Amino acid sequence: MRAAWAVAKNDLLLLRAQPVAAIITVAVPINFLILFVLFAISGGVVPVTLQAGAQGPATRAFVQALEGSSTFDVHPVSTAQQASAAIRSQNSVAAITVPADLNQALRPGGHATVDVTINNLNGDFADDIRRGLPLAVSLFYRQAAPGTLPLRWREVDSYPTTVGFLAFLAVSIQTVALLIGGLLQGGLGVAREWESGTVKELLLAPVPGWSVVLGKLMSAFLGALAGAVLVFLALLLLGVRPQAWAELIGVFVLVLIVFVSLGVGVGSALRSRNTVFPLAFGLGLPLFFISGPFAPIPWGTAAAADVARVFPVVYANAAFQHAAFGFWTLDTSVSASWLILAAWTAVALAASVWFYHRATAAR
Amino acid sequence: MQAVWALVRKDLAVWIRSPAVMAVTILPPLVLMLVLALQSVSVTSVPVALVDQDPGGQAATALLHAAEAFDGFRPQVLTPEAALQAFARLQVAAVLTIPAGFSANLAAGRQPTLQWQVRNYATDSTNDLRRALPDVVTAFLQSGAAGKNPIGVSIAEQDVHPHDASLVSFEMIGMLALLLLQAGLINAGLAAVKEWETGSVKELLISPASPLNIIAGKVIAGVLAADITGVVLTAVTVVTGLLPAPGAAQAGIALLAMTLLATFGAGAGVALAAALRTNERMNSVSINVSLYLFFLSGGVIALAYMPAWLRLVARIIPNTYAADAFRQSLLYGSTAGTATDLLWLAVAAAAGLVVGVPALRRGLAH
Repeated sequence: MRAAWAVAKNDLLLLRAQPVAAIITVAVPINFLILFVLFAISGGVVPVTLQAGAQGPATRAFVQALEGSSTFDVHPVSTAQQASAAIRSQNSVAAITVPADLNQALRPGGHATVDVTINNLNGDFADDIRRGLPLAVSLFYRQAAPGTLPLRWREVDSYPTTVGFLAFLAVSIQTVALLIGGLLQGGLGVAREWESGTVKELLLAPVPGWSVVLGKLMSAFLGALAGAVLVFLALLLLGVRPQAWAELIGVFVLVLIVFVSLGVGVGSALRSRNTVFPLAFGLGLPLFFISGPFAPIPWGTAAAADVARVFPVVYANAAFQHAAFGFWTLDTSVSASWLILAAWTAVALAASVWFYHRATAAR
Repeated sequence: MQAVWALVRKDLAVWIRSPAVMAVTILPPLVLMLVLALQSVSVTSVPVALVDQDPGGQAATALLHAAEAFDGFRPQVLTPEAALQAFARLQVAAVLTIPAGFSANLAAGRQPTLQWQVRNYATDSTNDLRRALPDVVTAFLQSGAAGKNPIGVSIAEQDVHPHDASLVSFEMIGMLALLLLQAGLINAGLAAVKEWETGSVKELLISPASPLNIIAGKVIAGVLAADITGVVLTAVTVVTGLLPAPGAAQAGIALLAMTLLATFGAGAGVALAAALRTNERMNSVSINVSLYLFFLSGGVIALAYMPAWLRLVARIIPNTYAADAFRQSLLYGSTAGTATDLLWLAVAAAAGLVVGVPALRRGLAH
């Protein structure tokens, strides 16, 4: 243990001697979170212009229905030219024109046409508009002429509140941010020994290999922990208020151990900081997308879900979301998921020792 | 010129002979593109259970058919018990239940109530589901199965593009811009940094090649490496059907946009190399720079969806114009607006060189 602590202390002193490199590596997880928050901040509402032919009660009810549909961000304009200019300058995605005779549509047998020009950049964006409009129309009838529709529907939600897109995504992002941070902290610290040749001194030292690995794990864990704290503070700033603090801390510690151990294994296998860095991002980004950042993995493709289940990220994600929001987003049970995370911890630790031994035995 | 081309050939040869560097430049975006393709299904449609408790009713059957024909979710008709289980096990995101007596109540004007049970985790997926049901109901009412359609508002749609591109193809374009910038940054930057790390900068400086020739060689090699990467990836996306095969004019525009973006990246890369001078710092800073520029330009979403302040920032990021030029030329088969895009990219490329060339020159002088 003394040897392990000496190795760890040496690595920490090296970080202090290279403050720029240290800051860059510790800041990687928070960087990743900021980057994806920039992505998520754009939200799901569609910016549209609205040109109304008249300002009567029917038009006002229709505008209210558009705004109440949770789909549109409505910007009134006076002319069709303004609406076209907004689409061309990419300030809006669609131009909606409400006819002056909209109230005719509320009379039996009456009819009115709402014109919409859609900048159909892709099917997904365009379909949001195409589906948002019937919802707005049905809300319009519910408000303006409630007895008109021959049927009703009642939505029954599973949870009393729906988590905002940014908060939900932020929790998924922070899992992958920790993955990338852990891989880097563990991998770079080990790869540096080979690149600088100091691995020879480590091998010549009268200490067992496992204590070197333990020392690397300890220093990498502390570095990754610093990054994790920054990430957690960012989540608090984004309005995430964990419901289960003990569970949250437990998941943080467990996943950091897994990711840092994997990093040490990767660093021992690759022995090059040049490849550890891009590999960490190369693994992190795909794992982020297949581990259910937007919705539970069983709702996506079976193939992607099967691949995701092999890695610890999806279980860590589910545990974080449970700690943060109180719901479970995986079809694997809570207890089974925790067992898998525990198993991954053991596997990652064993892999870090094995890869180090394999790499040093080759010398 | 001979000296420049000798340096370009040297750097390209080193790049080609570094399979690890090529792999880490090309493989992660390729993997990410594959993952985006898989993940796009989850973003565009979720599984939903349909329960018909009025199986003999004509109206109920018509409503069920309308729901089955809806392309906004992946429907499966289940019994009430199976639907409950599927919902509990997260195999479906929502359950639409047509109540018993639906058809009779509808015919009698008693406004039967559908139940729409929703797993409301987050607003994004929940709002998709909330939009889905009125769409289904509208289609059902329009079919006439509920009698005269009371909805008198119709939507007349006009689209800017002749057809919708797929979400995956749209996202690929953003990834292509990211890749090109990253490739330009990393290849030019690492090629420069390598000279300091290996000490070969001394040999370069005592060679008859002027510093400007040396810098030109680095930048051109970085641009060519990025162009090769971009062309290979575009070819892969065309062969796999993710992007349509472009016409000659559109291909030329796309290649010019790639070259200009890569030039900006290479200029920035050599500037960073002069400042950082080690592989490790170069790797971490260049990946961060390219990711920040990627997300500040909107990443894989459209500019219009961004907050106003972020749109302003995006308008000074070269990726924004590159992604727009790629979309117009490779996705929509058009050249609309590409002149403006290419002009801004040329300005960015010039800016990259104006910053990078003197920076590397100062670095070599020291």
